[in-house]
Amino acid sequence: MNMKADVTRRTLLDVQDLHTVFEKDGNEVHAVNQVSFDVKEGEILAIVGESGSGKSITAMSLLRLIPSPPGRIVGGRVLFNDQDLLDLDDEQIRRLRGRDIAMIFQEPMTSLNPSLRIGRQLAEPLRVHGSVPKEKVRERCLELLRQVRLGDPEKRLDAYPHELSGGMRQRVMIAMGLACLPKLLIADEPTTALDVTVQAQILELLRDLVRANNSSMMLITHDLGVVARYADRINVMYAGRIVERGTAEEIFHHPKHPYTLGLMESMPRLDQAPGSRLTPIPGQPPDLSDPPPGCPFHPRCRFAEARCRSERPPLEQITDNHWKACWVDTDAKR
Amino acid sequence: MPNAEPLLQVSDLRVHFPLQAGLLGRNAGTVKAVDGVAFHIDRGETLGLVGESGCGKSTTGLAMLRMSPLTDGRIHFDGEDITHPDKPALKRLRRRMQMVYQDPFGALNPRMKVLDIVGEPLRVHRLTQGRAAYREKVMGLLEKVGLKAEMADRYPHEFSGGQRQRIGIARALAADPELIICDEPVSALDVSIQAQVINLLEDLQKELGLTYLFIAHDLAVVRHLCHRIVVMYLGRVVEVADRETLYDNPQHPYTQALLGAIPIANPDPEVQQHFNPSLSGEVPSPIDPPPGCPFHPRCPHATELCRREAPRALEIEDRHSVACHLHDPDRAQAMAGNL
Amino acid sequence: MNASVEPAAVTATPARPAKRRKPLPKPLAFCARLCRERPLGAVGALICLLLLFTGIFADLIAPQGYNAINPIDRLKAPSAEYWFGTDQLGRDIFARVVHGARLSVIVAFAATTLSIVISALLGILSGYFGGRLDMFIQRLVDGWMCFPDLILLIVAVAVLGPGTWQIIVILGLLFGISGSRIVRGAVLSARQNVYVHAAQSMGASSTRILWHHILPNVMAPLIVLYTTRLAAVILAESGLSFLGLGIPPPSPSWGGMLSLDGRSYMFQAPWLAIIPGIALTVVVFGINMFGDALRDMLDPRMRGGSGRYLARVKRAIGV
Repeated sequence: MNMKADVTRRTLLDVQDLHTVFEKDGNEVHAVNQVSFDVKEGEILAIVGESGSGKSITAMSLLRLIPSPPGRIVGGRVLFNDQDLLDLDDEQIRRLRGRDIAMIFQEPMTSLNPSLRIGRQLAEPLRVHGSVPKEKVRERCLELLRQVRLGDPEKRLDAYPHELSGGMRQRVMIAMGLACLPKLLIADEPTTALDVTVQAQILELLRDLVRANNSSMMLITHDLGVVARYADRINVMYAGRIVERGTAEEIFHHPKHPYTLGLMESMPRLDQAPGSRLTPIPGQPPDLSDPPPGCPFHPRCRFAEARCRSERPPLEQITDNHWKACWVDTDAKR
Repeated sequence: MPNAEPLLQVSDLRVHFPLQAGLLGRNAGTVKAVDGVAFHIDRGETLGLVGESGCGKSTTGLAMLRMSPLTDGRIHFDGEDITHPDKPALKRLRRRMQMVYQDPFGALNPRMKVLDIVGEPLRVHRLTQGRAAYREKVMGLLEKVGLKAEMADRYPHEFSGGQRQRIGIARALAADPELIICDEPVSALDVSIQAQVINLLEDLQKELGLTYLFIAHDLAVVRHLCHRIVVMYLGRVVEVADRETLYDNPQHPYTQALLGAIPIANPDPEVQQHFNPSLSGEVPSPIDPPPGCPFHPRCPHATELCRREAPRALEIEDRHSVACHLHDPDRAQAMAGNL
Repeated sequence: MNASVEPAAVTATPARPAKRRKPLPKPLAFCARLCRERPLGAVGALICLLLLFTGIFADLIAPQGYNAINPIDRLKAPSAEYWFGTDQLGRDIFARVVHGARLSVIVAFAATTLSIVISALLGILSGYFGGRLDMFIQRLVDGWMCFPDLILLIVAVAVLGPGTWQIIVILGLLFGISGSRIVRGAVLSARQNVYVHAAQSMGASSTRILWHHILPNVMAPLIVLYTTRLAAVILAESGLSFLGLGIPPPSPSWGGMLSLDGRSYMFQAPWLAIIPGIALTVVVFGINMFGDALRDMLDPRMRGGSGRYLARVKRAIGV
């Protein structure tokens, strides 16, 4: 089901040393700290992390959607088709948003303007980017609504957001995201606010549409179940950094970083017998305005050694499909 | 446990809210939040109450504490009828039953010190004499939930989500309750913190012999923590079974669909085979819900009978009851004929 | 990613010194924040203080009193002797403005305090207990608010007669009743807090919940209401005095000064109207600025902030 990471695929997005800081009470918070990853054409790349890990900020930094102040991208490069998005002026990046890279947000309730009809909002990206001639806009909107399998599209075009359920609204958001056939779709927790049965429908739909359009998707989520099902490759983020990266099989079956290991053990799992006690990760994630020296995970890590407390491990490749940022050979110590 | 009298017994519980419209309060329909729910909770067990939004699980939990108005039905707690308690009885009840909330940020008054938050039940029910005893009791509670005693003098904003949830649990324990109603107590927490709180709840149950009503939508957490599970859909109970039975052998089409829709954290194709997102549509509005079986508009097996007549809950095996015409021997013929 | 090792810095990020400043005592810290975040609000606060100071020490600042008639110096323009000039009876306008400030302070604080007490009582009763009581109180408030303020004021003055305490009672009632809506709203939203629910579910009494959980949430809106009402009361009092319905002469109400003397001698001695006019404008401006700043700092929810999420979404799709 999951495609093997394919070295022959072309790189669509190449993020290098992205660094975003926020000003908070006079302190600098390194929300995204020298993060590097790439998205290949046609793949679904997941960024997994808990709240405060910097996964959403990473996504918003790519499109330069960081509210400034208090946020600032202080370093790095975001190469999209070999063009650095951080070099573009405001007009150029605006034209790129929605057309080449689109984003879907978490809250289907507040992401739509309550006072405008669905059709009008759906047509907005089409009009702005002029990707469809005026007289064809309505037709394209209908087609989009059919694609996201929203029943009775004619009627829905004239509906207001409050007349739709949460799942339907998220379908509309997906339609808006896909309106201009973007090459990259960034989905930031697209189903967190939805019920389980609806989540399943929406995610299947998203994957199918992305595959059909031959686009790539960056899926940002905290849900390891979702990641296991949909992602080709996974980046695990902790405290503003990527701590482990690999194919879905590698991450789930051979996790190497103590944090990833800890996540797997602390989660009640439906594929294992119930009753065994969970092993939580002790402590709390660090305060990013005052991060610990060395490896950001060492205060919670059961494998931590002297070196972990003073030197930060780099993200190193350990096998063809696997990177980790950890000094310790966790397999040997386990 | 099975033969003892249950701690809590609910029968035919209904909570309907009239919808009023216009100046004169004309009746514009009824929200049937809970519509004929029956279950019991044994002493020392954890009963899971699961379902998607709008299924009435939270309203049911509130009804136990007599925080939502009852339209119909009976609730017995420890043999006592608490359907319409008088004031002293209600106050007694709210000492023996406590609640833990989902939102670790909203559930604690930001202007109060932890000492006063955790100690509020002690004050309300006058359970300790004097400042020193009060303080000591609160500090003991904090230590019991894995916090430090000296944290009593801090304010909630100085704590992380997981720590706040511990404070909420300490507050619930303060009055030595028998039943704790946990309304999505871990769903707002991160995975790594979730496990800490789940373990804490388990430990406290063992140590204090607590009974939990665990309301949640996360079926993996429910499977881990609950002994018996009640599945609700649109204000009704569709299936009740022990944990193993429910997860290994779900009988109601909704339970089956619900279990099939959970993405499992294992990319193996074999495991992923069980994933079945086939259930279409969404939960209908509880305002004037569909007639007959509430699940029929989404049910793959629905027949004419389901559209007409609501199924009754039947015990299909020991400790496993299902409300579905498919499992009702009296209706089997009608179902088979239509299939 | 082709390289096997990321070029990221391998060495530990040097631990920055913890630069957490020692917190100032609360009122001082608040003043500092006010100056930093809302300079205009700080100016407003200064004006308010000046008004208060002038009102309290009027007798020391202008010891001759507001009614010292000096027929020789009638209608003198502002000069070194008479800073703000004199009126048609030769009274020093400076002294009258200073004593007018005292009158304004008395009326404003008394009427506003009365109005806040009324608002808080009605709003809490109505918002917390709800049900029939809420219905009853709200319909009364509706009924009261149907009438234009001015009509109510004129009727009340006609019944009670002009005078300082009458003005205080009338303005207190008028603003108190309309303000109860705001308090009720604050109570209703405070009631939504989960911790209020938690207190109820553990059997806490209404008094306890009101005192510990509701009232602290209503304090910020009450303080804000207080400052905004202050300015409104000063304006209303001046308006009434201007119409001859307020505080009767020779008491030096700013509104009265504008009206009787100011209008009659507008062309011969414009300072008669300009000076109290400026005093009024500056004070009302100051209080309003201070009130706005307080509102933003105490109650961020009331600040225009909705729609930010939407804006982010719109930028995301490139609109």
